[in-house]
Amino acid sequence: MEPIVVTRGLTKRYGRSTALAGVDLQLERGITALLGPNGAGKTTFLRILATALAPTTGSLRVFGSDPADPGGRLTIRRQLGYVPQELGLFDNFTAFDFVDYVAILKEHVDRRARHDEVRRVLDEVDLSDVRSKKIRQLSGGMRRRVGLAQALLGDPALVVLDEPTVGLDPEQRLRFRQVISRQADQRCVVLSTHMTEDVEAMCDRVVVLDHGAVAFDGTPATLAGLAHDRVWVADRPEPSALVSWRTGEGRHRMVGEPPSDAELLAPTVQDGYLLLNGGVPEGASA
Amino acid sequence: MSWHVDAVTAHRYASRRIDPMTAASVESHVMMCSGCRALVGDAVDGPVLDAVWTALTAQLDQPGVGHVERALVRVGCTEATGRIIAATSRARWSYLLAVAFSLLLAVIAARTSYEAYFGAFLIIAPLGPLMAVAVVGRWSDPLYEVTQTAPTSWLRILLVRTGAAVTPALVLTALSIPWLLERGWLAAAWLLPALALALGALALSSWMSIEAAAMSIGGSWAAVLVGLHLPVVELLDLFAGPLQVVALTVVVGSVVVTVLRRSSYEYREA
Repeated sequence: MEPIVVTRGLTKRYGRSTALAGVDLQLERGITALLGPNGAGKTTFLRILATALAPTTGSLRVFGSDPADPGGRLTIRRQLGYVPQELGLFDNFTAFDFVDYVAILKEHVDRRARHDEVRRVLDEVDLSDVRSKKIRQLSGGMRRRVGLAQALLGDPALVVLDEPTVGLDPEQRLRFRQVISRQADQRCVVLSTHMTEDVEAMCDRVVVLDHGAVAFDGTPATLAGLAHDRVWVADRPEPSALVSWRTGEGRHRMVGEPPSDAELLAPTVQDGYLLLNGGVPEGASA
Repeated sequence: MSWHVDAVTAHRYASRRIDPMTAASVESHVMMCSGCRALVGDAVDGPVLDAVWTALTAQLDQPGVGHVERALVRVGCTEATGRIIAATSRARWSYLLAVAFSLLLAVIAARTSYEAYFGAFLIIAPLGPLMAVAVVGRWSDPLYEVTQTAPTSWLRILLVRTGAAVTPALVLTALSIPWLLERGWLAAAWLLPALALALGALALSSWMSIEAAAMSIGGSWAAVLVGLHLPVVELLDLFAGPLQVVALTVVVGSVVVTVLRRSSYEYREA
């Protein structure tokens, strides 16, 4: 299968700091998650992929086109759906008006065809019933889905989502996951997240970025497998554990080097990710 | 109610072979009678009902076109251009602010015989349109990053919004010139510098954000003119001649730079 995205030695520097340090990736159809601590380069990578930002060096080809070339960039943008990390919405617009406005920006000129397309994408994200409501009246989850709806306009082959589930409650996240996973068969979806449960639940592939470089590239099961025989539970915390926490049952779940008589547990993506990160949970200082 | 819709009436209603009075009776009756509603519903042709429903939905979904957009379309703008201007309501307020600012200064300058006020007016007035330009980018557009990655040219959007920001300020202030006539043509001496600052900011924004570009240009303008410490008479002389030449050069230079660097607006380095 021809890859949709190919990056070779992709770097991005802001002054003296390096956000991306030579990323080589090929992305195909399906859902790929980017995991990594804050500042690992996830957002920079997604912005470059979405042609919002030019790389400092290295090459990027999307659908075989180079975004540095004006013609190639237009080709990419016509097949791209993008939801940035902080997507602003026009609160005084209805959901329909908002998506209609983006459709205008996406060159949907014919009004009737455009309105049909707006109805289609709102239906796809289960928002048909509230399409006439003002955006300010919608819940956080619905607003996220309005953002996703605009990204699905024109049936794009590449959808880039930067932390699409952040700030959503469990029910909203579940709903959002369902909507995103429906897209996977037809297109390449690349999303960044801090939620390892999301990765486990819907992604075909996971790429872990650390300090701007690829630290892991494989399936969620393979990432979880990194912690095989290294997750255990005990009544007391062990000093050999890289990370441990008290469970609801009052026992201690640990990741690291277990003692010989340890009560081993099946590892999760989060365990593999923690082990890869040296046991430093997201947001904690080393 | 003793009257109910019979099967014959229901079919005649569904096939539109019924007089308007009876049709109205059927319509008001089915609102209250579920049995007759089902009977009439069964009689109505499915595809026809779907077509009516689709047309009705399409009508209801028509975006609520605001006054600004409607006015813009009326004066010849396309629907897309009208929407691009009207969407950024925060910017719309800034346009109005810029206009009010310019007019206020014009009136103050006209009502005073004190030359220093007029000198200050000439320095400050060009900053009004520049202020409007400063807010056409990321600040006024919550959808900035999506807009930037859409196929529609970002430079085109920037020019459309800048035009919408600068034009009312320039036109309305130019209309105030009759109140300034005793100053002669010097009353309009700020217009070309205003255009130069606005276009200069646009050109500079091919390297940086429009907000940073406008602040740099506006700050430099104020710093140079205030820093010169010129007596008012010399300041007015400066506006009467040399500054107009400089402004014209900046206008031409900015247009050239914008055209040459048009690709930089579409694909940002930072």
